[in-house]
Formats: sequence, structure tokens, C-alpha cells
Amino acid sequence: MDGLVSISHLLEALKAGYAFLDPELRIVRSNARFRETHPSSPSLQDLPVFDVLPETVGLEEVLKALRSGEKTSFTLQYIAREASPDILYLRLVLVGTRDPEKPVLVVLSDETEQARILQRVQQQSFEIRLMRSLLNEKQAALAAGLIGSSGAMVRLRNTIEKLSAIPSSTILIRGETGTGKSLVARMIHLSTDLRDRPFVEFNCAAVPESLLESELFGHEKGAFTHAVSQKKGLLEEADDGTLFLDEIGDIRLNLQAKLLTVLDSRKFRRLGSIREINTRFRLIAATHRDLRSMVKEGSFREDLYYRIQVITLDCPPLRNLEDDVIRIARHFIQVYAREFGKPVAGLTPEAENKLKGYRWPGNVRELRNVIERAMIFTENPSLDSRDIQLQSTGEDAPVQTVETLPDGGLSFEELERRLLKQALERARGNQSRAARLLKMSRDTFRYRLEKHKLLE
Amino acid sequence: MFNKKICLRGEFGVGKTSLVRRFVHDLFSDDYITTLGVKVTEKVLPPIEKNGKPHQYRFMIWDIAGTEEGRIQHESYWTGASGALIVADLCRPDTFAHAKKIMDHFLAINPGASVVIAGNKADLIQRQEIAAHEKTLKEIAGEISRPVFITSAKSGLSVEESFIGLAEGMLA
Repeated sequence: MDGLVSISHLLEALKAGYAFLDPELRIVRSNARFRETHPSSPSLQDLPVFDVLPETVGLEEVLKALRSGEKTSFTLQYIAREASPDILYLRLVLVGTRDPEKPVLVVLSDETEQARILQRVQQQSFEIRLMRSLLNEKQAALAAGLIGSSGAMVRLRNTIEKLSAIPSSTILIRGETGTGKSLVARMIHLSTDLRDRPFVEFNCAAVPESLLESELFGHEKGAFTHAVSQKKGLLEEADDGTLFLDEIGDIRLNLQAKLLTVLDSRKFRRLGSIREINTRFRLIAATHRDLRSMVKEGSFREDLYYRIQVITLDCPPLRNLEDDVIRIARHFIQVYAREFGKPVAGLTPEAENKLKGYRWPGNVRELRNVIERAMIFTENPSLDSRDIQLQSTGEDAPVQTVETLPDGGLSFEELERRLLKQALERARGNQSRAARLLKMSRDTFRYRLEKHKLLE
Repeated sequence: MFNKKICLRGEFGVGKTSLVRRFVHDLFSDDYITTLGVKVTEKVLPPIEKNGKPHQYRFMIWDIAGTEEGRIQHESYWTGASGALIVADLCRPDTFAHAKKIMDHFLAINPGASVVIAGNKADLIQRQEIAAHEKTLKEIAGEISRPVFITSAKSGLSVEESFIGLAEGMLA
């Protein structure tokens, strides 16, 4: 008994709660600190330990081994308990005493302070790991975004996979508007070791020429009239990462020369600064224009053209992707079904035929808009042909007068070609009359016919 | 009434705590707060009939801190468990393989225990993906004939069913 008293004193001194259990595993003696952890029960005397400590449920075998002396102790760390105002963390230790009347000692000690520090560290660590894990999944989901099993799409995915092994080469992505050039650029970035570095995307056609240079190079305060503060340029923001310049064919010649210098020297100056800044980024450029023709016309620098087209990727137009149009449409149906909470299962055969028969001048972007619009208005379990609203129904269908640009965009080249053909048909092949219908000279009309290979 | 110890196990961030909160308190929060150690919560299940006799369980649900890449920690938490809900995150397929590792280790310590696999966060992914992930999880569970539930702590999808599935496994 003296030994037990000593243990009690020791545990009191350690500010621990304790209880002794009888051979029936009932509490026969406990201190105030132990009872504090069970404020709902005024007295714990003679209560089975399983009723007082739910953590001991399932530990019957352990308690039996402690009682018999087969085992000396058993520990559970960081047991969380709701307490006001915060959570309490306890350490539970079960000890075999070798006393036949009180064979098991239960010790509860407070380890909240230590637990809180550990919890903070783990919270940060796990949040970072969770974000990384989700980023990897996002990469996989993006890859799945290039849906399709047509030869063109398979080749594109294979090329992207090969590019993941060479993170430094400059890449030129070509393709009509709406073919997913930006998605491809992002996939390339995420598939390389640069995935944790910045991906800076910029559409050169979306900014007035006067602002393009300061957007790219940045500027110092006072460099020009409206430069009220210093600003980092995209070349600086993309350091160590990827700079994606969409519509690079829209950059003026003088800026093309400056961009070429940066690509060669890896150095640049902000506007209004004499200090050179080093930068390392991978350039991915994209365009819907024919840069080779632009080089011949003198509107795109030949040296820059060869500098950026180290590797060229072609994003195929939707009309060349065979049955992939249906696969991609189904993907968008799933996306919008979830977003709008509409259980739309897919497409009727008539709707599929309508989608397959269309030329998709606005490519995947147009398809997405068509499906989104259909999903908003449909009341059907599957989208049918009446839900699918297209700009026209095929190559030879009449083109309506376009007074505003459709949401999905349009192919200007295709529009021009159709107007030329219609004018010729209406003028029964008379080129002068057809030219007058389009309010242009006969020479201009013939030039355009030649451009579209319509001149017989 | 039988008191049974049930462990929730899985990688960090798969939604173990959210499943317990949904099952016990019918609550959900999007906040992610890492569980440290273990928190034990009680829940009495509705009676389950077997051979015409009702069986009722009180589950002591051990919500145990998540692991990293299937690493085994705090084995003492697993001692004496009658069942385990092994949780994987449908948005992170890398957690599937870790779930398998955790399940094998749990069964090595508690050979006769009931085990159920939950593919959680079904509300965050598309139907087609769910079907593919469910197939993978069933392949993992099929090796030892354990049931799989596709759950969502957010919507409540199959949360109660997965715990009842555990209880049914104990009666089998």
C-alpha cells in the first residue's frame, strides 16, 4: 500500500489524473484531476472503466494481460476530448500494478500544449501535400480534357507526352481559333518539372499595341505618362516558369525584334530602366495565323519565326476529328449537367447526326457554347436535335448577315469564302456583277477568289 | 446492445472526420482541419436483423489521424477494433493504393474484423469518373471480399449505409 501511496503522490506532483481499477475493472479510487475529465458524473466510484473511458472499449484483452502481469503497460497518445473553450489532448496510460485488489492503474495526463504545436505543423504540411496532390490530379484532368481517339488527337497527346521530357525548348502551337491552344500550352507546362513554377498566359491580340511593350517588359515609375508606379512585366513574372504568348502573330515588328533579343540573351530591361534583369522561362507561342506567309509578306521576322518554331504542334480543327465531336459533346454535357443540376444523360441519335454534320468554324469553343446553351434550355432526358442550335447546318447552308460577333466566334476566312461563292451563284458566274454585289472592285474580287482557290 | 470499437483509417484529407460528423451529428463543413491523434465518438446504430433476431450495436468510432502515403502510425489505436472503415478520396486516386496498404495492415492486427472501403467525395467528381473509380476500389476490396461504398460526407450519400455495412460484416 505504501508503494501505491508513493505512486499517487508522484502522479499528483505530475499533475496527472489517475484511477485504480479492481479485478472487475471498476474504478475503486481516483483523484480529482481524473474526475475533472468526466464532469457529467459526480462520482466515478464503482463504475466500469468502459463506461468512463470509451477509449478502453475493445481493450479487454489488453486489460486482461495487464491484470495477469503478462503485459506491463499500454499507452494511447493524443486522445482528443471536447472541452470548453477548446479541444483537450490527453495521454492515456494503463499500467499493471501486480496488486491483486487494484491490479490496473489508469493515468491521464494533459498533453494539449505539445499537441497544438504538432497540430499546427501537420496542418500546414498536409495542406501543402493536399494541394500538390490535387494539382497532380488537375494535370491528369487537363490531359483528359483533350478528349478523343481520332488519329489527330492521339498524335497531339503523344507529342505532349514526349515534350514533358524536354522542359526548355521553345514551342509553337498552331491552330484555328477555339481549338484549345491555351489548354495544350497549360498541359505542356503541367507535364514538365516546371509545373510548380509560374504559368503566365498572355493574349497579344487582346491588348492595344501601345501597351504591349510595357506589359511584356514592365516599367519603372515615370517611364511614360501613365506609369505612376513600378510594374513587373510578364517576362519577369514568368521567370523560371512558362510564358505562353497567344496570338504571337499580332505583335508588331519592332517588338518582335526586342522579344528575339530576350530569347537569345535571356536578359531585358524594364521600360525606363538601365538595369538588366536576367530571366529564364520557357516560351510557348501560339497563333491562328500562317506565320510562314507573314514572313514572306514581311510582317513577321524570319529570325523570330525560326527561333520560336523549334517544335511545332498543330491543334486540329474539330471538323477533322471524326467522331470525337460526339465524345467531346458528351464530356460537356456531363460538365453542365453537374453545374446546372440537370440529369441529362447524353444525346439522341438525331442530335448526334446534327453535331456530326456541322463544320464547327468556332471549333471546340463553339461546341462548348452550343452544349451549354442546350443544357440551359432543355427539358429532355437527353439532348435532341431541337435543343442543338447551330449558326448554320453545313458548309453550303446560307450564312446569315452577321451584325454582331457570335459568342462562339466565327472563322472570318470561312465567312469570306461563303460570301464569295454566294455572290458568284447569284450573279450566275459573272464576276463583275458578283463583285458589285459585295461592293468591291473586280480586281479585288478576283484576288479574293484566287486566295480561296475559287478561281476556275 | 454490443459495444464495438470501429476505426476510421485512410490518408490525410480523405474526409474521415467529415464522415463521422455526418454520421453522428448530421453536419458538414468544407473547412479542412487536420486530425491529431484520435477522437472517439459514440453512435447507436439502428437494430439489424439476422435470422429473425434483432442485433443492436453501439459503435465507439475512432477517428484516427490520417497517414501519409500509407505509412503505418499509432498501431496501438488499432488494438481491439472490431471493424474499420478504410477511406479513400475519389478526387485523389493515389489514395486508393494507400488504402489497400492500410487495410492489409489493419487485418494483420485484427484478423477477424469487419472491413468496408469508402470512396469519399463523390459530390466532387463526375458520374463517369465515379464508375471508373468504383471499379478500381472494388478490385482492391475484391481481393479479400470486402464491400465498397461510394460516399459523400457533404451530401450524406451512403454514409449511414457504409457504417451499417460494417455492422452487417460483424454478424456475417
